[in-house]
Amino acid sequence: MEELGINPDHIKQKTISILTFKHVDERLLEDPDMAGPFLYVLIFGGLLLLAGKVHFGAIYGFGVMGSIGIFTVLNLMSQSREIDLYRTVSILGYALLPIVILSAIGVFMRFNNPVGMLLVVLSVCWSTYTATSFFETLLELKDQRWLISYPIGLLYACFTLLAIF
Amino acid sequence: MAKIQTSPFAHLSQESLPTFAGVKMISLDNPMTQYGLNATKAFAGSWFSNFWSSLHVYFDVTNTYVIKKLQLITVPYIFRGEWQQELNTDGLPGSPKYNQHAPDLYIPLMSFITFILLSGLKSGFSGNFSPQILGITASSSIIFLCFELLIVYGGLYFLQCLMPSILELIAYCGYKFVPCVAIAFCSILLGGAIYWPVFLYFSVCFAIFLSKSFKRYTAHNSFAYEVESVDVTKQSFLYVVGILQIAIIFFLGYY
Repeated sequence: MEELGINPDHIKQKTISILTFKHVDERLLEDPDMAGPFLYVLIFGGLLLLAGKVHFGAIYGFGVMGSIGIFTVLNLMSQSREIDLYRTVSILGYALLPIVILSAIGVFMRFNNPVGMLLVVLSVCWSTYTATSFFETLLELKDQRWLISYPIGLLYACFTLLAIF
Repeated sequence: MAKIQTSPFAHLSQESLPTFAGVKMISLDNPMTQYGLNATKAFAGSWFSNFWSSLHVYFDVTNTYVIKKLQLITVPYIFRGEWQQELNTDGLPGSPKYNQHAPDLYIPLMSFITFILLSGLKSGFSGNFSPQILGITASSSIIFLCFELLIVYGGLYFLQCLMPSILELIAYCGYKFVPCVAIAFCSILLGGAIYWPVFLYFSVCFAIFLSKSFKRYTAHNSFAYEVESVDVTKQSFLYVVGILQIAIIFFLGYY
């Protein structure tokens, strides 16, 4: 696995730090990988399949367009640093974890009731918070926290809408 | 004195270039390196990177700027008096971080996207959603914006006002998506009957906001000397701009 660049230890550490809201070491963020997000997206698609929705194409297309949009906005807004597309997609993929958990719950229940709505809102907020804190660390953004969380929140909200309805 | 042309990469020596675990990644002996450096130099002066850096200024925003700007757009009558802008040395508006009344492009972009998503949501609630609706809303909004940009730019040019740059004009006219979002949001939350009062309030406030912002351009002439008299044509142009905004917000919300 070393030759492929997949580092299971890093993936596990990042996953645990997302689940427990711990602050992620900057060294981990410096080493972007696509294996973790790829795994999450596959699990996401698989869980949606279990719930009866076949949306692989939409997830892929929407993910690509959204990532490019966020990459553009982030580079425009950050004054001192830059970020490349690979790292953006990697971070957005890692922060997808709460939505994967939501879709796991969605195999067993429908979200039309108030409890379901609350779960949806909570998981979108959780994903947005994770992605925003990762980007803030990487890009050294000051006073722009809510400004980047807004487009990321929109992206995850649309993703969730895709998954739920 | 003749300008001495030096290569922008003259300071590079082999030791200063990055290595990966001791292996030289970029070698100055390699002719491909020179090719790459020339290509980078060509790109740095190209139109795209100029465009990118001029766009960059308009995204230099902070949380407090956005909040105050949204207040300016929705309740402009609170902020009395002239809206003074501080200009930097080029005579252009300063960066939005330091100057409350400078235009930015973050708010128009985000409100445009939110408006499209809210229109899709509204049509989803009334039962006739299809993905085409998002595309139709987006393209019709852009067409309206272009139409309005043409009218406003032409008006400012023929009235010999101080001309804004195209990006500034896009920013100012793009702020109208904020009242559109507010109207759409209120009509989703509170039902259809509330549409007309909300529409009138937000569009009139936006008309006031835009007229006051454009005073900066109509107050000065594009001539070198100052003209003292108050020009009735320019004042009525500001009224026309205001009424145009109300009309366009109406048409944008019509779908």
